[in-house]
Amino acid sequence: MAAVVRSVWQGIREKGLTNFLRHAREEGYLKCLGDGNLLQTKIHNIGATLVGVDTFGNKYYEKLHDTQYGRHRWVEYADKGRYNASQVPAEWHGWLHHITDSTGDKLLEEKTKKFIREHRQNYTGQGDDLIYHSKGHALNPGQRDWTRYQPWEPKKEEAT
Amino acid sequence: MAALLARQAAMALRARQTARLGPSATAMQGHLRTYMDAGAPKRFKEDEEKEQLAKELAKDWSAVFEKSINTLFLTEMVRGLMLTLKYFFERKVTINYPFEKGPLSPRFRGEHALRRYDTGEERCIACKLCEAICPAQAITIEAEEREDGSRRTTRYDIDMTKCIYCGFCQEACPVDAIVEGPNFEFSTETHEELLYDKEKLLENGDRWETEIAENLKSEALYR
Repeated sequence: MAAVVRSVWQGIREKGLTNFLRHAREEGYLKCLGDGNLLQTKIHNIGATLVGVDTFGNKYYEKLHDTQYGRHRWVEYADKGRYNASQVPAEWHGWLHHITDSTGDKLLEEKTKKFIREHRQNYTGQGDDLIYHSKGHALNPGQRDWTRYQPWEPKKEEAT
Repeated sequence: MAALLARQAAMALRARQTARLGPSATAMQGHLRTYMDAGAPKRFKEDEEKEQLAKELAKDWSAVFEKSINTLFLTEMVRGLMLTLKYFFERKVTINYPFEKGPLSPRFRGEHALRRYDTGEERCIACKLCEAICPAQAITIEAEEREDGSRRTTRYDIDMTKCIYCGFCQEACPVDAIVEGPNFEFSTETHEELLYDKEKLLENGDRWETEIAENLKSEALYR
């Protein structure tokens, strides 16, 4: 407890009160007060190592000692309010689910395919313009001029 | 009748206790007892049962008092509640889900995806093996010749609400086109969002290819 108070005091002294409060809000410390799960994660973060940050700003932590069995890897979402389990992109998904030991950064380094698309979270229930509609659907913007198939256009290999 | 039984049981008990505990028991009796002990441990169990019965049947004041006190103060309830209280204060074993996630297998069968070759060409050749093997008949395929002469699907629909996630489609596929990816967080609010067509499946493949490829690589020895 004393350590927390000291670090808060140090932060205020270094940044000034307004800057410190803004920083605290951005990092989600104010949301912690109403959200026990976020608070638990923040407490868990103490003494953990930051393994990586993905393109969305989600932070991945690991703590191999003094943790319960099976709780040594976790993520702190960039969106502190409306965080969602599907916000974890594919390259970090395996690491977070204990499938593989290679981190997302390593996976991205190893193989970058040209056709890979950016991850998209599950937007169900958040509006018709966000969710996927099949190509014959009335709400699909490209519904009028869809073709039965898309012909393949072979592209020239880029010199690597 | 009950009183008679109780008296008999009590007498038997007293006799045995004197035989066992009496320090001044005769040497011959002691010899006899040890000799019998070695041969018959079963008899003691019977004795214990008899003792138990005697206790239950005994209607002396202390036994009656104890029973009624147990009933009056709900001691069994208190013991059960103490156990609950103990687990209330014990360390929790649940994980903090959206932040921490449970372990999955690299062979996990989740949301479907259609993969592509490294050139960007789609793998599926419309052989319809997955459609044929699908036990829930969730897959619908229509195929046509493309302008360059290759055989491709014009329609590849999976009804995710019919699918039972058995993984037969990915086992049947000769070109590793249809796979069940590691994603299981694709629940939706409406039914029609779960009627996947070819575009959606290819999109899934493009989004999850990094992890699908990694999982396939780690399982390559066993396939």
